[in-house]
Amino acid sequence: MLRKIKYIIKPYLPKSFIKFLGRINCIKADTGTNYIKLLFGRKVFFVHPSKEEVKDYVRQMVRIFRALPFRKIEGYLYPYDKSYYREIPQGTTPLASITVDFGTVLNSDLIEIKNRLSKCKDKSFARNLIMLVGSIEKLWKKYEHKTRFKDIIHHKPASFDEAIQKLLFYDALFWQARHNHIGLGRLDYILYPYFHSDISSGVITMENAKQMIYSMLLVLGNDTKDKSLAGMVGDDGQYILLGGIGPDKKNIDNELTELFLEIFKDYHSPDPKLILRVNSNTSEKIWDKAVACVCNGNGSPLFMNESLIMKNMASFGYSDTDVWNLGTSACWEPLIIGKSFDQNNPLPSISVAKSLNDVILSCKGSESFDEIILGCKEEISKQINQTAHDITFDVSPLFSLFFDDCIQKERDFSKGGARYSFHGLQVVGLPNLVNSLLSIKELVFEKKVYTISDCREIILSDFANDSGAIEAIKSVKLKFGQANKDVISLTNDIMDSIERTVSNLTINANKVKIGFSSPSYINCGKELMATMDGRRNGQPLSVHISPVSTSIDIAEILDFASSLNYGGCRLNGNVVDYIIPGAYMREQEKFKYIIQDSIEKGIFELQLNVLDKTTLIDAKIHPEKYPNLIVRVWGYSAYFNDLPEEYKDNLINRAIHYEVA
Amino acid sequence: MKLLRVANIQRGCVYDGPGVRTTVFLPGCPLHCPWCCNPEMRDVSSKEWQEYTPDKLAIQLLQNKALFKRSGGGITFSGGEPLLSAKELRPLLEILAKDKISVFFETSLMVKGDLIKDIAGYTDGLIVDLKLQPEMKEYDISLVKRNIEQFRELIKYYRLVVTDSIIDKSEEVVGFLQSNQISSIELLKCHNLAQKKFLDLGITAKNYSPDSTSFGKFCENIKNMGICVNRLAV
Repeated sequence: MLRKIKYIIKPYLPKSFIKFLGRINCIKADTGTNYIKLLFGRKVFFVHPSKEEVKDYVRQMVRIFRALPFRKIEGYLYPYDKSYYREIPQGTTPLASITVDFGTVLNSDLIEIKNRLSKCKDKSFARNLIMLVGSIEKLWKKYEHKTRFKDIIHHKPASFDEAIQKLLFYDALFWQARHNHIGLGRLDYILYPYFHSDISSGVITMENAKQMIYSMLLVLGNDTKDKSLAGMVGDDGQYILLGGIGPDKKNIDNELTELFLEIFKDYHSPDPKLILRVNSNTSEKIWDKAVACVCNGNGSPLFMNESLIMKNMASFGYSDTDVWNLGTSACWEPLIIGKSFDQNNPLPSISVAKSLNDVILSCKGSESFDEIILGCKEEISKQINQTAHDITFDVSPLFSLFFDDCIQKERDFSKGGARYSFHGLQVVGLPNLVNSLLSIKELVFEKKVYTISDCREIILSDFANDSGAIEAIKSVKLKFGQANKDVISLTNDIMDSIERTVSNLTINANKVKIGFSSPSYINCGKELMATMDGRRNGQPLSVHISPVSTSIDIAEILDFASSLNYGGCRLNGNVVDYIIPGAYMREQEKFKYIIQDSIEKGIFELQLNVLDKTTLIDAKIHPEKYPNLIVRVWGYSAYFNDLPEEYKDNLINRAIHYEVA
Repeated sequence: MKLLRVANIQRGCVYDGPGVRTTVFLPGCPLHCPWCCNPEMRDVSSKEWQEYTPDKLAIQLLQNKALFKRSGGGITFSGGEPLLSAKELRPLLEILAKDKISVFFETSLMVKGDLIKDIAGYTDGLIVDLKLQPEMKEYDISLVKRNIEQFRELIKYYRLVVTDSIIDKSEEVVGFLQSNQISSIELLKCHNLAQKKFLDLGITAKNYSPDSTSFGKFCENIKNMGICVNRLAV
């Protein structure tokens, strides 16, 4: 609307006025513009638009930083205000799911950065970033006197408290620039030197440190609603990663690791969340605390099998001198902290059960099961090739200041500056596909109860034309998740085929990763007709690598998942997702052994909900009784009451299934 | 060699003995507990069960050897009444003993003493499920008492499923325990998760679960009368 008005009146306006008018950036919580609203009571400022994306970004951020109001939470300056937002260039995809290396941020000195920039050959690049740095300096200077800190932007923190303030200050700026899902990374490793120094010298006690961390968590979780994706409160990618090895390949577990886990055991908020890197040397103490945390029910931590993941990342193309700093993009997709621009899911998920439906509906390959499998693989391959394409991303001069190689290469973070740009695709519905294939194998080709044409009619009629079909499918012996060699072989065969297709792809001239976990199980399910695993039209697809059957317990699914092949480009997250009955909460030590065993056997990642169906059903009917009930959704934690109804129903159904197993 | 009939194998069990265990469910049972979790296993001939040679079953069970070692766990035989399969189990038990795998049996003890003697040398412990509920009129309490006396050293856990019919009988329960020199017991609140199984068998399923408050009170009463109580949960 605004553009139309400008187009109409522009020829009649003096040139100087046009220049002054620039772009009206309107300030409000929702997207879109409304010229009438701009004129009445809304905050408005003008930014002269530029066709150069980096210049445009910097100009807008300079203006935003100038306008940002003072904001202190829990005693820390946190200048984030969603009502001021940067307009992202049209036709570009926003940047999301980035984990900044806050260690680099803490060590940064803006004067030093300006000096490095001044030596750049590309003067335009340097000029833009220097302007941005200047605006950050002005922002800090404007509010410094209202804090207890001095000049943090020009030196390494002098204390644990200062380190937390610097981290929070920059975290706010990353969000302010409209980059979503900013991960916090390895805070036990990054903050430890400051923590250790202050504790050793008696500047703070352990209790002080605990209080500061708790305050930091409250600051980070204060804007969860604003930072979350529309409709999914809690999905903001704010994760804290604990444990794992350091650059010397020794475990970095320290008192801060333990402190974070202790705090989270009693932390009744879904944001931020924890991820724990584990290996064969992870101490029993850390394990005990992590399991206690899981049993608290807030869905944290997600467990990462770091040895397996790092090995596969190095084989894929990440430098083996970088993989020690493995992190995730938002939920679970591995990347390298401070070096990766890897976007985990910028494209639609690959709905593999749909590909099988396409084969059945076209009645192709009705002669043998092998033909069905071949047809299915071809359709999946087609879907992958149709989905993957080059993407024009938003820029980020702000990330360019802190991510490795950007200043050195004199290139923006998303335009070749970051060291790694391995973007990812995700598969949704693998359990549904495998179960459908197993049903067809037994019912069509072994017992000959149905033909492929019958299956076609079953799908088209949503099981209406054969009321016995669902029971027949339920009685099929083999199911996804069974540690049975035929099931494992079939699943690996499908995954291998997908891997081969993806390994031939590029996105923006870079290799592509694939993962067998996806957040799209409800949305893709809505668009998919009935499937031959008994799923009705529009029902949710299965979640990640998890059984749909009531007869598969936690031990079996973990054995199954550890038998899958995660090599090649299968790096974009492969999460076993399970709902543990409450009984395990009373036997935490035994529960710990089960998880440890599964890591050793070779699962990729594991996330757990500790719930019982009674509580969930009651919470749906009486939400007022459960204001603090937290559940794990696809890769983040949320208050059950904040979930859309379909997500609540899905969790309840899954809890019922797993209780019987 | 007689094949072993197996109803189900469940791994990652945390309530069937020490450590994390794999529980092997064997069909056949002399009792008909109305709240049974596995009513389909009462009659051995009622359906086709999976059949194994001892070697094949051992290979499957030993998949979790590392977990048993890590957690102090092992194999638990349950059912049904697993001791009815004592003779058939001997070859398997010999294989497990060679691998030093811990073996437990979950039993009602309502079997001849000879069957227990058959497996005693290869067993690390018995978990005895006492059927003290009023509904259990078929329970041969004298036989059970004799077995308790004879195999006391082998019995590591006593267990009682707490139904709504026993909730007011804490004194009688304690009386039995004390007269048989039993000083600790695991109490499991009866649940009705197996209701669908009863319906599938054409048996009317009643819910014997007590409410949580009554169960809590029952546990407290038992404890207050000097018995060590361990509350289990499903």
